[in-house]
Amino acid sequence: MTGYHRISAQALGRILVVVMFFVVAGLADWSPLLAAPQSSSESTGPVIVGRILYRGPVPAPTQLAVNRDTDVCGVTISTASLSVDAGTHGLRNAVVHVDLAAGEVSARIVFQSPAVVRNKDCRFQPHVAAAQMGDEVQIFNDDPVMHNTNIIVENSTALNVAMVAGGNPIKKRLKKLGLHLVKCNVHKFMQAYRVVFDDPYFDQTTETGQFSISGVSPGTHRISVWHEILGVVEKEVQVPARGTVVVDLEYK
Amino acid sequence: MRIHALVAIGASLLMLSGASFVHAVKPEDNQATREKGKQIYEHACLLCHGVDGRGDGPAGWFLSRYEGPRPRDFRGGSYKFRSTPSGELPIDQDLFRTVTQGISGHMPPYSGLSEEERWQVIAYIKSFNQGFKGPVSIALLLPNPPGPPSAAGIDNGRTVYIKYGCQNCHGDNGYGDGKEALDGNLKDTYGHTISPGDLTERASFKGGSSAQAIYRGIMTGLDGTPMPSYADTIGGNDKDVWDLVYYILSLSQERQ
Ligand SMILES: [Cu+2]
Repeated sequence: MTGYHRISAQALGRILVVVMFFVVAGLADWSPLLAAPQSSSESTGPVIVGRILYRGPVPAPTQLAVNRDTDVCGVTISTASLSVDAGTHGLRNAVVHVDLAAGEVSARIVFQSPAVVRNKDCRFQPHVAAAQMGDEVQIFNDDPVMHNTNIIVENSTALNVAMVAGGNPIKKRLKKLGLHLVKCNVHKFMQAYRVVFDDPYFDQTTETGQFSISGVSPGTHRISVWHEILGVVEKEVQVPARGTVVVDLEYK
Repeated sequence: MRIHALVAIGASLLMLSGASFVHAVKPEDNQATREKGKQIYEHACLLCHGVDGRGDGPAGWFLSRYEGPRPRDFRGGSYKFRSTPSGELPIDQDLFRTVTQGISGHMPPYSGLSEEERWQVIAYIKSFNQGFKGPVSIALLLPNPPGPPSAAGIDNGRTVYIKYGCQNCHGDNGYGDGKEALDGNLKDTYGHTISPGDLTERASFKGGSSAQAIYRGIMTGLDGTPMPSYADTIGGNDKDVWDLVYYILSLSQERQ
């Protein structure tokens, strides 16, 4: 899990570069750029694409009893920590990261979308997401009941905000690296994860387990994958100067 | 009384402005100050907070082994009593207040130390956490309470109490017997079971029981615990919060 907990001065440097870029460019309105997908101007560099696979047993979703607000949340909540596409064995909600050695990190600037945590139907949506240090996290409550969004990183509160029904959305910067456990103390069955990196070389898998990461420098790199119950798998990959390299990883 | 305290009192009397007394004696945060702070720490704090500030001192280890809350881990742990937004480090004045007042039922007040000694030990405590070397957190605006409370305001405070979900943990009448507490669902960030404050008992207000202290706790939340910060979600709705504060204070009125 080295890639998940490293604190890098380079990351802070990059954030500074981004800020300076805005200042120099004199952009009045940041929102279109902040909302832009992360794919801009990557046609020349190499792209790593692949699939995360799992062929093991997939238990049926757990039915958790709802202890309050059943009129909004329902009587039970169905949770599936393991979501696998039956046709392809692709694993959803895995977070993939390319671990670059210090000094290998490209200077490319990537504009991330805001990291959203939505309290909706007494669930956090999305259930798993990856984000970059310094990204804005936006928290919304779409439900007519109160929630709180309590984000814990390494036994410490990263953010714990009440989400009163009809209250303001929350906008904060992600300031901590690593695995973020997201909980609601009003509804103990509500739980989600965010994984925050100090570089932009990550993706999370789709319903069919696919991912795509671009902008990595050529060379030999390690790919590490995190999943909430399956843990971590790693693999080395040779990245060419340009073109697409395909790499699949499998949880055994 | 120590000479430097007398000097400080004299100095503060001379300062006819509204400047806070504590600024008058706050020593510069340098190696010499931290060294003095270390000596104080070793006889006043180490027993609970441990040699390395991990909250695992000889007594702290025992306190935290079976049930929360455990003594603060100064290296990276969350600070409950702050005037800063959730997830942020406290400002120096927050630490000074906690050292001076103690934490009702958990940590003794250290008002027996001179103010300079308290600042010295704070400088040492801050040296355990690299975060304090970064930019200083910005405190939330914490106004003085409007007063005096009105019956209509307290009635509204009761409505706000339910709207804000206070009863989920603190119970319908504030006894700390809400459903989440009774079901044992309330854990600190270490996974230790903790209990919510009994709002009918002022000694149970760990961050202080003044109107302003309660307002501060609601707005900032108590990091490391399930108590969330309300500042952002209800931002601008100051009157409701003060009504809630006075409602909460009314719950402990008869017991005083
Ligand atoms: Cu909830």
